[in-house]
Amino acid sequence: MSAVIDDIAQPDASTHATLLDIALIFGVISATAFGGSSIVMMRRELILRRKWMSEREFLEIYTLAQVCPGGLPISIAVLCGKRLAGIPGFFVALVAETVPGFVVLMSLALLSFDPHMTVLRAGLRGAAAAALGGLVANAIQMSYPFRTKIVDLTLMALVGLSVTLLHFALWSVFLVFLPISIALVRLLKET
Amino acid sequence: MFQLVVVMLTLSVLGFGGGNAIWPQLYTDAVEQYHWVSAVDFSKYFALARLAPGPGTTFSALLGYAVGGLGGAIVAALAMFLPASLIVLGISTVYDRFHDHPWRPVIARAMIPVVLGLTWVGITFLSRGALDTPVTYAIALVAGAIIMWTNLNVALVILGAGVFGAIVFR
Repeated sequence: MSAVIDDIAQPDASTHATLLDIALIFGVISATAFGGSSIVMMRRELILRRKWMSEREFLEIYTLAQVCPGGLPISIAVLCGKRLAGIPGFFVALVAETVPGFVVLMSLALLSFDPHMTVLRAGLRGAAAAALGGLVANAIQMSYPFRTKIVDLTLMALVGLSVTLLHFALWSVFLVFLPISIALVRLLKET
Repeated sequence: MFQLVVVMLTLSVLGFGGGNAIWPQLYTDAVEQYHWVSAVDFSKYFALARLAPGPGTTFSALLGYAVGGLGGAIVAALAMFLPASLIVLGISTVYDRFHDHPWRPVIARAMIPVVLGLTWVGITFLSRGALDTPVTYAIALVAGAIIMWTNLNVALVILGAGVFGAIVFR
């Protein structure tokens, strides 16, 4: 299989993730990933900083997580945990990704009954805007290897239009576009 | 409490596609069917969960809190997280078993444009809530540029924007 994605960073085989590493990384992300930035953080942490995974491996996990039930960050975390340290890694990542976020959200919810809520809400607005900027940066970096692939760009645009204009539900997006995409991959021998 | 568990379990198992598909159903169940929270409270909780760190589905814990206090919150979170994760484990095990199957790279490759398309759609949906004034656009632009071109910890960037927001939006 030839590399479709020009890996920005190659994984470094000399470093290994321990269960403690997994607990710390996903625990910190769970507690600090304001405004849905957890996937941005995971990608940076695992690929760019620690070099435990290639861009391609992460994209594969990201894609697999899309067809799994449950929250995307949780699925990605547990799949990364499993890839890095097997079944124990899976469960450590599950706990680390969910418990701190739960604690912080409950604390925020209780705090928001406080009269100081305006400050909190104002801060959260700034954080949400920054988080969105991070999501865009992430999406640009993930899409970048495909910038010259007309077929991929067309399919991405059609998926976008089907959801925004025609209000396709998620399962219908996969039902319609996955067979088309598979046929094109086979036809163009793009693996 | 029993209804809470049933609703969360069902959505946990059926919520394919990263969780975003379950919100309409959760709204129907929590507000219209079982009256756990009012429509206003639902959107308030939703915004809070969106902005808070951690996975968006932790939102279920807030509904659980409304039903049964802290115990309800824990039960709702467990019912939301556990079944889905076990299914993820099953799916990935099957997926890994077909590691050398000739169709696997084809499907994995074919998924990429579909998923990237969905990613961009998700961003446009999220931007409706996050971007409203020129200042929010500016924050998003600056933060995006920092995250893209520097190695700075993303949490620091976002927390910094939070402090900035607390000052300018107050």
